[in-house]
Amino acid sequence: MNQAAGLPYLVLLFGFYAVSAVASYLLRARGRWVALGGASAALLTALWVWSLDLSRPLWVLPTGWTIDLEAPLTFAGYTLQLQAHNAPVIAMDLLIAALALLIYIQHCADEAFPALVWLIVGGYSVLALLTGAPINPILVTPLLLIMLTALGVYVLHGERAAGFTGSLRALLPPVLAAPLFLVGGWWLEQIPLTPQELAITQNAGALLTLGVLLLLAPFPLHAPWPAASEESPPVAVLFLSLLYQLSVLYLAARLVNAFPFVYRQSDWSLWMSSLGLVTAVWGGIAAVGAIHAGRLWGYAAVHDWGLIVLALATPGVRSWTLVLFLFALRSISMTTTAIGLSALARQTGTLDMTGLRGVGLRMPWSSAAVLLGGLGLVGFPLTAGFAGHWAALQALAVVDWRPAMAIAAASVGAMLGYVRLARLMFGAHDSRVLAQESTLSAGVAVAALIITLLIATTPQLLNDFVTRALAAFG
Amino acid sequence: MNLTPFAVVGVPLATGPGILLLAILAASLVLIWDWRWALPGAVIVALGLSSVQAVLHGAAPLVTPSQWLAMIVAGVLLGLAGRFNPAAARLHTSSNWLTRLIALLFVLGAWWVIDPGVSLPLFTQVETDLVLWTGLCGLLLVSLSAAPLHTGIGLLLLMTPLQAIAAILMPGAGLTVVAGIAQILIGLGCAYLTLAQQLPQGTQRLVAPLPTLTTQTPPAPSVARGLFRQRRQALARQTSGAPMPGAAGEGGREAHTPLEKNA
Repeated sequence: MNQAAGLPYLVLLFGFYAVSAVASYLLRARGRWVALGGASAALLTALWVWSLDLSRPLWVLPTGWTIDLEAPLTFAGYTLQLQAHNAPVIAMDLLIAALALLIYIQHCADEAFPALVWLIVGGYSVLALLTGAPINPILVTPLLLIMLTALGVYVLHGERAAGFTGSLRALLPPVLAAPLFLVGGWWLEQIPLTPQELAITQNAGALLTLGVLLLLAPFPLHAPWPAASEESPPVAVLFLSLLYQLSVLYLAARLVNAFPFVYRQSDWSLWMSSLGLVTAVWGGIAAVGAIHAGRLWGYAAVHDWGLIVLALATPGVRSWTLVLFLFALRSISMTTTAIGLSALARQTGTLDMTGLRGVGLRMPWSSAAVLLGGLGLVGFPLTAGFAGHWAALQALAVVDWRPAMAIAAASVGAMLGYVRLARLMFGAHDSRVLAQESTLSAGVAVAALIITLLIATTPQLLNDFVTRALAAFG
Repeated sequence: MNLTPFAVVGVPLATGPGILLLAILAASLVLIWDWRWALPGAVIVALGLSSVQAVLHGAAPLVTPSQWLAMIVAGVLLGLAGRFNPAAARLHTSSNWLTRLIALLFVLGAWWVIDPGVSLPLFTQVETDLVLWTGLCGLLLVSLSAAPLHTGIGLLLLMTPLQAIAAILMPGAGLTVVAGIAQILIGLGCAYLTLAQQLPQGTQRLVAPLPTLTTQTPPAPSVARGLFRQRRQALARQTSGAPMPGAAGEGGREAHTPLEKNA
């Protein structure tokens, strides 16, 4: 283990999280300024961590102090350490926090939200930085995910939450997966004792595969996020779902890289491809019948997530590139939709489709953000998600054209849902709708739309991002 | 063999009838459903299982107390939430006892027919069956419930296999403490949701006002010295809506109840 040659960088990072959380809570009455300051700080820190050069791990400050970037933090046998493979994940976590705080500026619904954002980002950073433990750190991750999902309950059930089904159901996948990881871990410990025994690696592989599968929450465990999209503030759903999914993808990558036999000697490919396909198809079908704009968004996201799970079927550099590309596009599309939905929910008080009749004429930019972001999640042409979906379907069709056709047909279902929403929003004007788009909401929505269209027309802008992130996953 | 006080509790439970008792208790939580039975029952099942393992596997001295502590704290949190907002537990009753019995029998039948032959390493088959049965009962509670209180009880029951596996398969890794913290956080989250649950108007307790006995102070006998002054007093009463003298009955007692009104 490295001895710290100066002040550990992680002390500064976690100190920053703690100070931000406390300050956000104490100044919660000034929610807008707290969120603005927090978003700026998170964005700057994300860029800083993203650009860290770990080949030169020591910084000497003008005051003579030294900061050790790679110095580990150890507590009760658990070690946290910044390494080249987890630094991009920390930066992405912070970027998601910055996006959530930026969207929060628009409506400031729940006063405790900024403080909770810092608390939860700190937890997810621990998850990514955990490099040493009395057992393999990968096996501890589901237990930490249970804790973080339990903390997410307070974010999802904000002041305006209409229900709690989503926040309760979100607890189920990590609770179910954790025992499988522990039993699988026990089998892993038996491998060096009897390396010639094939059944041991098969048992370990099957249990860990099943554990990852449960954490990925494909159909039929997909229910929490569409339910939360209907009940909870969109910004809370965006923040928690992206952080959780990024962590699970990172866990899967670490598992496959550390124990390649997990997918070679188990039914990993079969389970991922079949359940990913079912998830994508179900997301599209369910979106047709959605009568709530939030739930429609949730099902479109399920469709997109199914495609990502499908891309995980054969883990390798090519598939991780595709997974990261899809995840980046997903983040952009979901953020765009969340911006629009937050503004609509604030102005109209509801996201029921009937309540949004004619709102597009009064709030055109927010409505366009909802539509363009949502359609991006199902790969509609000229949206951010199109390039990723097209690449994934092409890669899939090379192997077998039938699943690719099924996914394309399912995406048409989700598109129909959005067409119905567009007809209601921009259709006959309801005289009762008195919503007005504020300058701030319109400005944020326009910025999101510009980014979406920019990525839609030139997706190669994400090349550098994907290449750098691949260092963590590939 | 030296047994800790926590393990002594497990001695009678680590027998055939004891394990059967725990299994029946776990099943009764699904059938009876009332949170006042389900919550203590879930805590007893979890504590019993922990003690059984302390007897059979000789768990480290601090493992069983930390498991007990986590379960009791989580149970107390949920219990307090149920105590302060009892109506919330009755709001989302998803099924009746017959449906729950059928679901339980279906799970039993499916397990018996499919017979997946699951066996946990280092656990005896009876122990494995008890651990899995407890988890299945927890899963049924979560599946059949839409109320945070019952979901919380189900999740606590679902955490029991995790606690058992962490203590026996990964001793010395400190996972019992981590799992205990997770258990408390789940209890806290579900308790928060129980308290935050908004009751619909129809289910709020309606309190009828008690009939009040008001004694009307008879107006002071005014000395009307002239016709104009009497008229001004009468007009002022009419415009202010005050009752005319003698309007409330002879005794000045107003009729509130239907009986009084009829009389």
